[in-house]
Amino acid sequence: MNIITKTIKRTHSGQEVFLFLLIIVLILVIATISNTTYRLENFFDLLKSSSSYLVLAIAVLLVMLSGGIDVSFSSIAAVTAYVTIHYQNTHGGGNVWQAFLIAGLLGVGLGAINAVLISFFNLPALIVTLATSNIFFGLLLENVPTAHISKVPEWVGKFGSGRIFELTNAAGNTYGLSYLAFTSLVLLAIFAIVLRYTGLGRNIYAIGSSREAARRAGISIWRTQFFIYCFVGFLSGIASILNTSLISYVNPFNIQAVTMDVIAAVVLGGAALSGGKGSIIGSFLGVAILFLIKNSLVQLGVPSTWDSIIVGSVLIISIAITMIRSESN
Amino acid sequence: MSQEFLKIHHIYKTFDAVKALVDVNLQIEKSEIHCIIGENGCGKSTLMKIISGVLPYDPLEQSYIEIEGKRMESYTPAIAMHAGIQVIYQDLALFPNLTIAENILTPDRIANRKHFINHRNMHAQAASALMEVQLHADPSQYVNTLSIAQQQLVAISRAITNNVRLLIMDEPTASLGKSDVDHLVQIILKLKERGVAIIFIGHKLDEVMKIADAITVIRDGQIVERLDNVSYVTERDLAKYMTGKDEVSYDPFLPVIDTTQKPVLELQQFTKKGHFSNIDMKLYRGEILGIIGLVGAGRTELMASIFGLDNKDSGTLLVDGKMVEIKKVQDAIHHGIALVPENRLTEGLFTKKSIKKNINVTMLSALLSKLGLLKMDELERHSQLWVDALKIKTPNHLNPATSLSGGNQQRIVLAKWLATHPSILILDGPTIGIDIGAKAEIHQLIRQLVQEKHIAVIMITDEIAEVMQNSSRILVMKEGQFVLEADRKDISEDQIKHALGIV
Amino acid sequence: MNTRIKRYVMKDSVLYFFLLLAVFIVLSIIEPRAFLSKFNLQSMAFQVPEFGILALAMMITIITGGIDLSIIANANLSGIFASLVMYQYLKVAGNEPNSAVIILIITSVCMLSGLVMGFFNGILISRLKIPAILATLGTMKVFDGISTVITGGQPLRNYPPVVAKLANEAFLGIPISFFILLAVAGGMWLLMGRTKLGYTIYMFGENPLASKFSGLDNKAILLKTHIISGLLAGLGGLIMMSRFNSIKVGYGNSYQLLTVLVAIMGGVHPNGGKGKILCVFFSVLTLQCIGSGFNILGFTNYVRNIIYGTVLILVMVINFLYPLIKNKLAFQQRRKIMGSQVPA
Repeated sequence: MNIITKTIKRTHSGQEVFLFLLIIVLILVIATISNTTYRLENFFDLLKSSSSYLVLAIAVLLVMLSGGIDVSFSSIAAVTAYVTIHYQNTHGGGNVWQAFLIAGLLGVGLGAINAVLISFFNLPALIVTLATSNIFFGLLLENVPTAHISKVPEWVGKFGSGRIFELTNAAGNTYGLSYLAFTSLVLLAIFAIVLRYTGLGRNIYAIGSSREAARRAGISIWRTQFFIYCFVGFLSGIASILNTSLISYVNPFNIQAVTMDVIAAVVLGGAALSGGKGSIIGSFLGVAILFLIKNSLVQLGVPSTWDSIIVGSVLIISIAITMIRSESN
Repeated sequence: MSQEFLKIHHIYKTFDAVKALVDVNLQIEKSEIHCIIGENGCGKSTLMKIISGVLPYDPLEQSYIEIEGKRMESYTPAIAMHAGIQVIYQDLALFPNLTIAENILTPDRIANRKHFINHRNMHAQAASALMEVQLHADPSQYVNTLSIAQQQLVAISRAITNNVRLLIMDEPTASLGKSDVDHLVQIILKLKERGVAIIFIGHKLDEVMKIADAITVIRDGQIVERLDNVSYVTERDLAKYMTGKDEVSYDPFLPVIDTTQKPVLELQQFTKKGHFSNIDMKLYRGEILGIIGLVGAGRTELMASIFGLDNKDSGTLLVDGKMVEIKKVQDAIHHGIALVPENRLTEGLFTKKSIKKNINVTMLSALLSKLGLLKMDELERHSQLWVDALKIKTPNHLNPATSLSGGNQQRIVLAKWLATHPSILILDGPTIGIDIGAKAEIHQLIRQLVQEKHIAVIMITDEIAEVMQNSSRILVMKEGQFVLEADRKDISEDQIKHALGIV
Repeated sequence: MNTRIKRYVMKDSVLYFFLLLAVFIVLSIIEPRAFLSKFNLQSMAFQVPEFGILALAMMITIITGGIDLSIIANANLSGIFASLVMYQYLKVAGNEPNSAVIILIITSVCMLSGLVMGFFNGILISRLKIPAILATLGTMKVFDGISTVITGGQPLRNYPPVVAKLANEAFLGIPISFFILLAVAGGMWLLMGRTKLGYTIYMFGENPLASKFSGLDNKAILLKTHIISGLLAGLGGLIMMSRFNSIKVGYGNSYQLLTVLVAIMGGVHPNGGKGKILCVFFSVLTLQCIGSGFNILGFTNYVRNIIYGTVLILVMVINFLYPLIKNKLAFQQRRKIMGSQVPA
């Protein structure tokens, strides 16, 4: 009980509690309207399909906490997905660990480019990453006639459908925690620990809170930012493999298009654009809400063309509410 | 054993072609409260940056820094911190949305390369640090929920936690009210008892004289005077050392005011919860009303309400006898009120824009042609007119506002407001951060304006000398209320001090 | 006389004009036949109007210290609304649709919807105080979403021939749409340089706090800025409708990067407060020449994006280094003139 009260107390803005309640409300409303029941298997399903988004959300959160922004992560993911699978296709198939390695390293490399430009030359992050986003994606498409890969190595299907543990429901179907969900949960946990219990994590918050104070305290802004943008690249790489495993297909265009959705989810989760505010739990809840909304639109029979409007409106309304709440403080 | 902690030998510092420091020798003893004073730009900030290792001094043969008798071969911020030298800058440099505990212990964590955080330990350590400075707050509170005075104490406890031997404080009392200043002095004395040396940079000479064991005066990059026996020094002596000139003496400003006329501005029962209450005030043309109070008295907030920057809870405002509603700044301007704000660089000026653009910004509506376009030649003429009228020292009014000295920058702000032909001119701390010579010039200018243009001026200040020199009538404000009101000829410095509660 | 000429030449807009000239000359030398051909010159003149108008729309929002990510979405949606209204009219008018009325309809609907969307942005940013990046990120999704729902993601086509004339017909060899661009650029130049609103936009972008203290109406400035950028976005949509003879969600998405690029290249400061219309206008023309050159040299779309992205970064790095170098040089100059004691 103590842990629960402490965790609730620690949520500074109350944003996370608010989101959690919102999710409960959403589930209840949708369940009533569309007459579907949310069972445990739906929960596991959602976790699986949102796994790559969750990992990307970690990346976006890291950047936002430090007071920066990065719109190139999706392009990095698109590039790593293609390069990794293509390499594996032409070099004997490989396995999931090799895929993570290649994608992760390549991602780090691309992220490092951002790091140098933003840190060393002190260029505005939004514009730099806008530029590198186009450069990375452009480089991919320039060198590759068709960027889709429909034939993927064997391990992809196995990894994508595998589960850590399995349960059986009333109708005799199996469901459980998929490898994909497990990976994302592990990463969420790791970074939650990093952000709260390591010097690096606290430095990230410090820089976002007050750059000048961080400098004076002896924190190396350059080094911390370098880590951040490299982590972003790494996580983008991992996320790209998760996505590929989910659909057994590489579609760089779809990967590239998730930019704004992930940013929206992280902001929904309580991260402040100016930095210093936000948490892993918040980002998790933000992604959860995003997927719940998309999922419920499907349940309600709303055509997918309405997705954008709904997500956009939710983003605007939630930020507006946040603004109004902070005004009255 | 020697009582010496820090000794600086023949330090020079040159920036490109500018000699910021010339042959500076300084000695600070343990347990000594050493005050360094000097005008803006005299080099005291540069000297502090060199002492804290942030800036390197010119590598001449005879220049070196000695700490506890040991000559320092290389000198970096890390070395300085390791030796126990801590600086508290004016902006405090705290992390606003992190906890007190984290603020206090982050430098320690960085210096000792701690990679893993134990929040419980941090909490406990912070709690004991807070006790040292007698700040009653929960270490898990977020710093941006604290008052400025409390934040300052957090900054000090941060320094103490990191093993301070020499604490440098840059203008620590600038935003503190009286009781907070007392508390601060108490803490400083406690540190002194522990053997900590303290360098205190201040500009409130009365404060400086009260707590200093030794005073060093810097002028134009050189140490001009070191005083070890402070008891015989007067404020006038210090001012003279700082400027190198004798003090300008003022005749008190005693105009004849016709109080049968309607007051140009009248406040009735102005109240804003938490800031000021039941304020009644009358202002007549031809007078300079000086409002003096300590920080937190509510002066700036009161003026903000009059000027439309903030709302009040209740009260009536009359201009020339007629009741008016001022909800935004444009309303105030419409009724002839102008405000020269406290923070010149962030509130008063567009620093990167040209002098011309700054001056013209208030009069744009008046400089439009029939088609609604700006008349460019009029803009040029208007700006030049005011540059000349207020004698703003600049070779070209197209230069950016940052190219001017503090005093001249203030003239820009005055110009832009005088251009609106106000009948009521509010000056909030008009000579803060301006050298003594330029201060006098601005005071003269204000008097001239009042006499020539027959307007009314409200001058808000912290300094008793300034209010005595310039006001025809004085109001003392304390904790949101006017506690004393008198004509200049009927009041003395002591009465003011008594009313402020600082005797 | 010498100093007057020197001061005139040092004027930013003149420098940008010379840059344009230089690029034009270089390209003419590299590929004289292809570049200087009537086809190419006209081609450039046909392509530049929508780009230019959208760039100007982006520019003013950056000057206020924010950004507008929804400009393209706005343009597309405006075009879609205009198409819908036009379709209705065509149904009503039967066999004898009046060309002038068609033009009137699409122009006014584009401008009106652009304006309304810009107004919406303005309210979010000025009244609800939502940071511009987030607000326009959201509205971008909403506008695109509305476009998707209305069109199902398919392009709207089958326009009457008069629509295409706007962007594809020339008057005295110059496309009509280019005249529109000139008019818009001229209007913006007048607005930013000669009106109270323009003046206050610059001041607000430089220091919103001082702006408030000086009696400027910050909320109104932000609102009006976004109304204008919305209006321009709508006009951009009009020209896209005409040039592509259709409109669809996602048209002009590549302009997202390009409009920011050309604004920064044109001297607009990412943090706000600075930027001249003429400089951005010349940068637009310069970039159009470069783009054309890329086409002629056979670069594909993707290589172009790579190069644009790289150029943007290079430009910013130069902007970062330039003032440092300029200061150093200035100091050395003053040192020479005034000896060793130079006041700070």
